[in-house]
Amino acid sequence: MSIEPVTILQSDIDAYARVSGDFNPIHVDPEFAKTTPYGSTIAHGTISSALITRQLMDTIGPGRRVKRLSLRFVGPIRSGDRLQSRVELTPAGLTPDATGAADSDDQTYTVSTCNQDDKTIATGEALVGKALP
Amino acid sequence: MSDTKSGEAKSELPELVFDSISVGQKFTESTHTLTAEMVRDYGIAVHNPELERAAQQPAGTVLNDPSLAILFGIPRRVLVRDGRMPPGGVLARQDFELYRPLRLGEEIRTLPSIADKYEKRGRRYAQIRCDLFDQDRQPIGRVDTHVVWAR
Repeated sequence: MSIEPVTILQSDIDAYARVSGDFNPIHVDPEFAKTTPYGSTIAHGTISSALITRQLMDTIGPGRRVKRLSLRFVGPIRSGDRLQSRVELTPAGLTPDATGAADSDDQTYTVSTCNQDDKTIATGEALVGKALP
Repeated sequence: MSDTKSGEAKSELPELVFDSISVGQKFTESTHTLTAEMVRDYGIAVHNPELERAAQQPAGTVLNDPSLAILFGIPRRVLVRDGRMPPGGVLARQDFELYRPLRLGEEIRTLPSIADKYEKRGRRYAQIRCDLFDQDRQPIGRVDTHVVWAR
């Protein structure tokens, strides 16, 4: 199962800045962004976190929940990028939960977001467990 | 440690200096409300129509998107009194854990700290941790953000 790819526009980046309170000029100030190695504004990396989480929720269904998500942001998201998230159940089996205790219901997923050129934007791992009652 | 509502005095904050922050340093705790407007706007920004619909539900509605927790771990939101991140820094890594779902209208207490600072391949990084608590001081989650410090 896969949610549709999402195209991120500067208006989305601006909206994310407003809701997150993160107005780092690298995201919202084109003149400042020109002075950086990126040459233009880039989106907040955590937009990937939201897209991956949604993909995970769609995949695991209502009886399970995302307990932890660990992501490395390895490439910039530029305005106009079309992002696709992927999640895949790993064969690793049990993973210790946040308290260090093994929970037999936990599963790990490898996760990533790629752009329209299939370049990886974010990659990592998610821990999924049984939904709380 | 004092407590402050989010947004106070942010614009006048001095920039944090990498050499001056220390591992284990705790910053001022603050309280943030997960408003319906915030949930709606987040849903719009990340293209999640389910959140836009959830924002129209009564206060106390359980929100099934754990990524909302990230909003309460973003250094520029939660560093309300002690200093602001220098412009141009880039997010390198983020880990979040959520112990239970967030609820619409809920007040969330955030306690930011420096979990680590390090250098790698000529770049300087800070790991900014934000522990989230409910109004009864029960832990809700934790967000760890690794930022490439702006030069």
